[in-house]
Amino acid sequence: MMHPTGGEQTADPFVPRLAVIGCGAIAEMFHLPALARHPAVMRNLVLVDPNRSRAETLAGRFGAGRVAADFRAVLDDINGVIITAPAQLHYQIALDCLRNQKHVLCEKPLANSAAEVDSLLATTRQAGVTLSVNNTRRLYPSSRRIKQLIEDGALGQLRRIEIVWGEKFDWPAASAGYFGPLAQGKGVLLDKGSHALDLVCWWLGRKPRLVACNDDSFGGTEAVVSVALEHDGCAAQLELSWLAPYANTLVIEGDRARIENQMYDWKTIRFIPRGRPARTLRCHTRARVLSELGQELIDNWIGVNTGTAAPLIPGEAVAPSIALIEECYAKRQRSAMPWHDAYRRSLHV
Amino acid sequence: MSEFGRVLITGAGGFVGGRIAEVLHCAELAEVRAGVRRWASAARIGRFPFEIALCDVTDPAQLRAAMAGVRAVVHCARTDNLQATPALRNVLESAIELGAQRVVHFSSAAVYGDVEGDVDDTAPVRPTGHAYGDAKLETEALCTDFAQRGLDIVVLRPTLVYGPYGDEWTGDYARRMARGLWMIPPEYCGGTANLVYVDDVVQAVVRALRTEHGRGNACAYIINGAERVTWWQYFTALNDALGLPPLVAQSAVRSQFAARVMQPVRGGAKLALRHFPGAIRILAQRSTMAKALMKQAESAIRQTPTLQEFDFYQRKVFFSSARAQQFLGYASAFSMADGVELSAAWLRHNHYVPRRPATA
Repeated sequence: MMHPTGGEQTADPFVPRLAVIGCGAIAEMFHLPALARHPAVMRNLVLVDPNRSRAETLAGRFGAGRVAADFRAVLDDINGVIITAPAQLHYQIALDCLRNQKHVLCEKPLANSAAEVDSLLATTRQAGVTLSVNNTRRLYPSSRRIKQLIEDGALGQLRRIEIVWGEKFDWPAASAGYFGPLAQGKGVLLDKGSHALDLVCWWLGRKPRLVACNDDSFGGTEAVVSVALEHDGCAAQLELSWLAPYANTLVIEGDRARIENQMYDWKTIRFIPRGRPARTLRCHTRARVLSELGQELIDNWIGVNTGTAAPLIPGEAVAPSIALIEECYAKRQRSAMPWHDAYRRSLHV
Repeated sequence: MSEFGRVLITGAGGFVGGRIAEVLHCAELAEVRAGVRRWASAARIGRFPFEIALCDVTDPAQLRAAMAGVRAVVHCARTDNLQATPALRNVLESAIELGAQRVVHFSSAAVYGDVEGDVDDTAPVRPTGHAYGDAKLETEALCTDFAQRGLDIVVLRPTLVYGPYGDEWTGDYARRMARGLWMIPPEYCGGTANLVYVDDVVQAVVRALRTEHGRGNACAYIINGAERVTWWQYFTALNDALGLPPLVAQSAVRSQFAARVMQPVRGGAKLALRHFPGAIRILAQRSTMAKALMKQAESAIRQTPTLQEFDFYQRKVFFSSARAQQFLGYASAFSMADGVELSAAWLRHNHYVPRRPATA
């Protein structure tokens, strides 16, 4: 079979046959450059997108084997899929692929609810395949080191976690799916919250109790959200925004030491033992730039497909944070916004 | 059916357009179709369950699609100065073709150029050599042409619009204040701040949509706040409302010196960001020292006023909304104290300044 750039597909049984479902910006910027470092895999790769011309453009650029408009049409020809479709479609696509005994690597968020995650995990077990998820921030060397510091007791009993993370929404491939009916009223909490809440759950080792969730939705997708959590004497506060650049800080405070980082510090940690000067801890990594962490994920996943590696982030790992996000949406309250209600004054002059 | 029927707002991803969309929807005055140039700018208006449509005003086909079935258009999309008139022509031609009954066009008080004294809508306008004001003036001339062809057009000339979600006259100042070093000394801030609170502008839009006009003439109205306040009064009021320590200004000599020194740095940084964004990002990721230096440079650039700002804050001119009051019934409903208080609440909520600790 010829692919758009004229090459032939590889028939080597040790080279996994993969499909990327969804050809938006994340596939273009993250997954395909990493897959391109495996030319044999790339020659077998199927790019799937309802916008076929978009898939063909990327196939030509990266040298993918072929394109398709519907993933169901290629399931018989592949071992595994990478799901990079819009978030609301993740669950159903993943379920279909797992039922067809395909390994799945899904972009975050894996699903919309705890019940959906349970269903995916049960299907994964029944099908005898693997389910991985790309919660990129778990791959940051700094995030891993923080986890290790907490587990080693270097921070002592945790008292406070604070994540303040906001920037103006500027995702280049944002589509109508990010807002309005397609997004089902789920905005920044599903987007940044999938990372931030997952880190909190991971570091705490369990799902904390939801204290409060306040946002600015008027029936659409929230753009600013504030979440308060609690677990075993540790209060966690998350402030997330799509509208304004925040300080983008992370503070984790225990009774023995404190960590103060920027959200984008991916290989260093500012560690402040109680009563002693701050130290900068450098985290071991071969990655020179952030995008190289994507390579680690893809390399791992190719290993998963050939049976030589276990998933770096298995689906069950993110179950607590997905349950927590679901709970946040179920219990959210609108924040007090006096500046919003003030319009009534001007209309009644 | 709402009072105004379906209304397209171009530039609804922006500060003013976004607020117009919100208010028309929440007050149930219109079925809103919010036009955005790209989806990424829809985060704010996506909070509401009204229709959002891609609407690049420089793309006639996309514009026509967005304008289908609307009764009125509020055109507040920003373009670069050279595109302002061609884009407006697209809007007006589509409005005629698709039967929109009224267009409200956003011009600006910048059409008057660097005038001094009291200015109202009877003051003459002519090209002044300022690209933005001249581009707006050209759009007004086009409105007059189309009005003579029978299209019902109202032109609004807002002054400096401030308020929640605004960066230029609100958020950017708050950031400077929060950093603690104020580099615009009071002696340079005696000019009149022609600031109008964003909801006053929305009121003007509502009245422009509601008021009957004679066809054949695109009436233009200055929309300003009611008070004559100096820039220093505005800065101190905003600073106080944010709960920050009193502004401690640099001396005039030091501020001017800093502005002159920063001018080439600012130019160089812009050039570098425009031509080498990828290399700069990679450098910041690889080197913590480079990243720290970049942050320091960015902070210094943001904190330091430009030389043009010193002239701007000294201009003594006041734009009167008398004609808007007479013909539209417009009256500012927000004193500066009101506007500043609401802005400060929004700025605090959005972390422009450190949050006040919660009180028991």
